Amino acid sequence: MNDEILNTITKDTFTLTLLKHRLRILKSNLLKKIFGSEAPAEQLSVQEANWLSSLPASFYQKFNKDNVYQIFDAIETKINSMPVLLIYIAFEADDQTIYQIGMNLKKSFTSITLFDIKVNPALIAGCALSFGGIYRDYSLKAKIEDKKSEILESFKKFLR
Amino acid sequence: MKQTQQEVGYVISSKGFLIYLDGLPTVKVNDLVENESGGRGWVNSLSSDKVEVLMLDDVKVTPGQLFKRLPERLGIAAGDHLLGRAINPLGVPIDGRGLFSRTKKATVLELEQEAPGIGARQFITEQFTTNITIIDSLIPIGKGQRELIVGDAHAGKTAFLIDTIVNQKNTGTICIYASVGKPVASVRDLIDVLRANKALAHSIIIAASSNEPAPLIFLTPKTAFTLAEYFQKQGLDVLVILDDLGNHAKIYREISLLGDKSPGRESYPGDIFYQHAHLVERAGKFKKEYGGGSITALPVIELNLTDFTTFIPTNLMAMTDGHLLFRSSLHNIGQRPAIDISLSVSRVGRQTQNKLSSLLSSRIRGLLSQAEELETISRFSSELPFETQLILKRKELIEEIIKQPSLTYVVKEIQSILLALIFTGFMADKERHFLEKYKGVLIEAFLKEPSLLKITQSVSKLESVEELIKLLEGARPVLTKICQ
Repeated sequence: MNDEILNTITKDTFTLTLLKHRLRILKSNLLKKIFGSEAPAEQLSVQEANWLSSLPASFYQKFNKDNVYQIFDAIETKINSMPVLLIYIAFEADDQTIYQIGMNLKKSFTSITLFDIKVNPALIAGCALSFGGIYRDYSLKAKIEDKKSEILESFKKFLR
Repeated sequence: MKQTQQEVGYVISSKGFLIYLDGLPTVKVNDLVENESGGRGWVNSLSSDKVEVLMLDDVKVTPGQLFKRLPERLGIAAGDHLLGRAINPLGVPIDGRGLFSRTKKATVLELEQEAPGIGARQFITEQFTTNITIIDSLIPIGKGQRELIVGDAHAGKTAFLIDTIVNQKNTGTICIYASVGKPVASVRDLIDVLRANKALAHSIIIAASSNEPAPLIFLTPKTAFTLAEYFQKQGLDVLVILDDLGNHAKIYREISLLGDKSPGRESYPGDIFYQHAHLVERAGKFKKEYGGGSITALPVIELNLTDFTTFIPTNLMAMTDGHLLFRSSLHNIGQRPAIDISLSVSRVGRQTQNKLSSLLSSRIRGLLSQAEELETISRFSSELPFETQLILKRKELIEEIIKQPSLTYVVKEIQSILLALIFTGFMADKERHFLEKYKGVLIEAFLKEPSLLKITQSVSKLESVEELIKLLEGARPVLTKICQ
């Protein structure tokens, strides 16, 4: 059942950061619903509220006062052991770009369900990928370093 | 598009200089890793889910930080270019004389090496000459021997070690001094003394001072032995001084306790014996097929002499071939070097002495132990028989002969002559103050005066002490004339 819940969440949640954030708001929302509280509800953004409402009613029915904590504990443990693809890019990606990357990954790979974006302007352009302790650099920086001597030779032609 | 591939790990947690990484799928122990700010770490151990790394640079490490695996492993670029220089355990110069030339050829050797097995070793037959009378005559050291230098603070251990290095000038022996966790000032002093005495040219100083990261200090003796092996494989004799292994043990204890290893006796980890034995067994005399040179090791340990049965000193005594015990009390009464002969041992050196030196050494040792017993009895008696008086006087004369100020040397033949002189008629009526006054004159005469020089040259061919005494008795008129 936990896997089913996690699959539903990760259907349109691709990054680890967003997954952790969405899990937190989902948990607080469910706890409020199940146990009630005098405390005012957390102010959610439009996107957050939309995401919560996009989840089907059958999804919410899986939670009750006896299992809610256990489910979240199990999911959090599972997330910590899930392989995460780290994508290093030179710019801050907007939600649309992240969504596109996520959809592409989902289509191309079955073993990668989560990724995270790290910004490193030193890459100049392109990206570097890190997965399972292997780092592959497809950036312009790596390309320049690779062709360093050739580039320097070319520049020398313009020196007087 | 062409891509570059590297192994990386991410920091899970950090405790001081110890960090744990996730990732690095094919990393091995002793591989190096580096973060983006250039902080290097060395892989110390591996478990199923994390990699334990000891940081070699003092940089801030935060969880989530990326570490890349470096192509090189923990090692040092060995070569003749290191002679006369002071470096840190990773080979970075620390003597302010600039970086090493990149054009010079250097062989990179890994610091962690298995000690050669019994098949690679040779019987120790050659004496390691220090030109210090007390050592060469009474507690001789062989080339390839491991002799522990043990003693309390301010007993003149470092001065003795410096003398030993200085006296290796022109012998072709390479001296490697590993200063483990000592203050920066003492390392500077050492460099200055060796330079002033022109002993730096055949020496390498490897130092990690007390303010450096603990893992770097821990590597100092390993670097010393790795460099020693480099020179030994070229057929050279090498002297390795590890000053001191007490500090090394404390550093390893700090690393182990931080890494959650179970503490044992005196809170040292269980494998401290292994760590030290693994180091000192790299010394020895090696067969020609294995390079042919020798590595003589002098590990040092400072302790409180009221109790030298503590854990680390007894461990070291068990894994070395003898020890020289230095006493600050002897140092304070002017004995240089302040070695306690009765408590010092050399388990290998005796076999390397020539017949004459060996016989003379036994005779002197016998006399000293006899005198020690008689000294106790003499306290209760006002008048002593002539025989007893003679033994006690000879003991005093021996003590005077073995006194040797710092930065001086006495050649082996002269050592034998001086010690044999005690048993001659020439010295029968002489007192301690005579030797105090004329020791230097006698040494010079035996090196320059033609009739005495003949005796000096023939010493190595003599087979018994009596033969030498006979020769010296014959030179009595010359000696009397010189000492007028």
